[in-house]
Amino acid sequence: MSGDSDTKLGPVRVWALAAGGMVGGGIYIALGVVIAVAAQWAWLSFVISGVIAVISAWSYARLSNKYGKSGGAFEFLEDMDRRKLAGSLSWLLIVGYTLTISVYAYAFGHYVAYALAGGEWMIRALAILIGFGLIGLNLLGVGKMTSVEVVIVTGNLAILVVLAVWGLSQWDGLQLVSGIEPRAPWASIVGAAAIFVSYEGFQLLTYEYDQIANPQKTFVPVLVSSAIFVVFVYVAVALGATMLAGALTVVEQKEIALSVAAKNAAGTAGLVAMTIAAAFATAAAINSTLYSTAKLAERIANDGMLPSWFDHENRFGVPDRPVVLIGIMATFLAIIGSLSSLVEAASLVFLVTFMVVNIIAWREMDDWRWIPAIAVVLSFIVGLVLIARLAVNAPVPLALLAALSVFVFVARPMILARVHTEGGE
Amino acid sequence: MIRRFGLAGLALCLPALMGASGSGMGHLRVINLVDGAPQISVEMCAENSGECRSLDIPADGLTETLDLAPAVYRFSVTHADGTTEPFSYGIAPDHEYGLAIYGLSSAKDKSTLFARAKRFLGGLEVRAVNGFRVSHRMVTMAPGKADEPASLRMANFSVGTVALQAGMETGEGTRAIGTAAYAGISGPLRTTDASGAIDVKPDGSDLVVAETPLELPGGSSTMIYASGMTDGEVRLVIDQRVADKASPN
Repeated sequence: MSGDSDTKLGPVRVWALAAGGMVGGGIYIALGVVIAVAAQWAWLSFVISGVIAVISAWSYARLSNKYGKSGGAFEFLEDMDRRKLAGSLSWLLIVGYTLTISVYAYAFGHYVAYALAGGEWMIRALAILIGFGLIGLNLLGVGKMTSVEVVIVTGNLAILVVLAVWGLSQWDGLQLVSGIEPRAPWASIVGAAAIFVSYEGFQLLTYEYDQIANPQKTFVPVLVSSAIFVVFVYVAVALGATMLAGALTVVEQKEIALSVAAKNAAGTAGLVAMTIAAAFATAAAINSTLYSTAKLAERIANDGMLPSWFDHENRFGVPDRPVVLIGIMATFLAIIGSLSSLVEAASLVFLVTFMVVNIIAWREMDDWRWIPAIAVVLSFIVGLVLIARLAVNAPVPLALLAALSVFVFVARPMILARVHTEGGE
Repeated sequence: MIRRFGLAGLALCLPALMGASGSGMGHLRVINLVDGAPQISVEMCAENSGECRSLDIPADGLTETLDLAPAVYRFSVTHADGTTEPFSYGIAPDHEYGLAIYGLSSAKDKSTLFARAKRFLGGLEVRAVNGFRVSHRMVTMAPGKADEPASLRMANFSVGTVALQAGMETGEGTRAIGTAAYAGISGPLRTTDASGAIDVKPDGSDLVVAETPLELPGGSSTMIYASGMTDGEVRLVIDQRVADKASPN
């Protein structure tokens, strides 16, 4: 690790990184997707998935305190002596993070190209530029820049809050269904399923547990309060941006919905401010996710659950092979994938992961066990809805995910038995 | 008790969510792209006031701009072979909309169970879920200022075609508007050209199946609707809006 990460992270920085990890890219692309599904109940979708996220943050933080080390779900399962499940879940997580990075690169390309009046080729070129640029920065050992990230997160949140307040000050309920068909309240469950990935970012902090100052005292309240804050931000932005642009405009221009809302509110100045916020937020989210995913891959390779090829560092101490492989795959997906498919495939991966972590919390905790139980039930319902939605509307991405899951849970042990690993499984 | 609180909460929440609108009017044109219907009749009623109006729209025709009090409106469409299930859209103040009615008049009107499931799970972006039945799609038409580029989009409501690609020929060459599958929309192309010739081809082909000249006032928002095909001809219906004047082209 490099930069300023030698010093321990205080609660304010942890809070900012957790909130920023969630808001970093999610809201920029999720809003149009969720309004298309839940219409005027989009805000409720953010609340439903937010309840799962807040409880999951609580479970992650408490389990991290219990086991006392970095590593998140992988480490929890390892300490429970469930090494095979830990290995399979970690492979699935790497897939989820790769999809998430591709969503952020997709958002970066669209927001910046819109401000520059660029077309499809510029969008793709920008996605490639940010993908390869951040691979390069990571390889040079500047992948983790917590101070810079905190500044970006703060600016990003400030701009989003201003947009939300501006929109809410012009409240007109009809904007929530402007040009669209009103839907029944239970459509909010489908919406919650579609955009769950918007909340995944907080768990990256569990990989930095060793770097957090006094975590036994601060980690639970800091992680949970940041998740609650993000739920409020998402609800406020969902309502505020819709007031400024109208629901149908947000759906039609979902790739750049917040830029359209900001432009409607404050003209060119609004567009410039939102583009800068989106560009920095998505870039920072790509950077931190790529860094953390590569470190995770290196760690599990070190434990013999990925081929030892992944357990390699360059002269800057960076796990270079995972950085390059994950970065290239994510960039490729950003260029070829459709927004909804990427978002929803990633959502499914994280719903499964969070459900597993809440099951662990339910089993391993001595008190408050009903709290993760609620999240398990909610995740199960939302997950089933998402699978049904994908089966009906996007069977190909679902089939690919299913094949990948079979590969991860069935073929992975056979592959690891045949290739060189650090000690074997 | 819980149920009572729940109902009270819902009663309080809904008016707040769907609360009173601003003073401006919403602006709507309805476009008849139904194949096989010489005319359609559209009835639209405001859900808050119950006020209704009926519109008769000839084939490949569009209404004048209707200035509507902001509300959720309930629509039903009667065509040569039946009447659609009612559907609703919100009309917000100071927005311009185009409502395309499309499909094949002779197609079965009743929605299948799978189509309903697909629609519920898929949301507003799922189109043509039940073959070519008569359906509807709302689009925004947001003209900019006169000194801004004009914006062009193409909507493919041509029953039975493969994806269509649209382009605009100007003195300086051809610029692509984009490619759209059935019930899809491509674009926008933003341009400062004052005029051009629009051509539409099947995707991947050089065969022009429809073309039309087009004036492009600065800041105008234009939707090119491709319709027809069952009689072997693709037709183009143009809806163009400009900032201070909105009239059918």
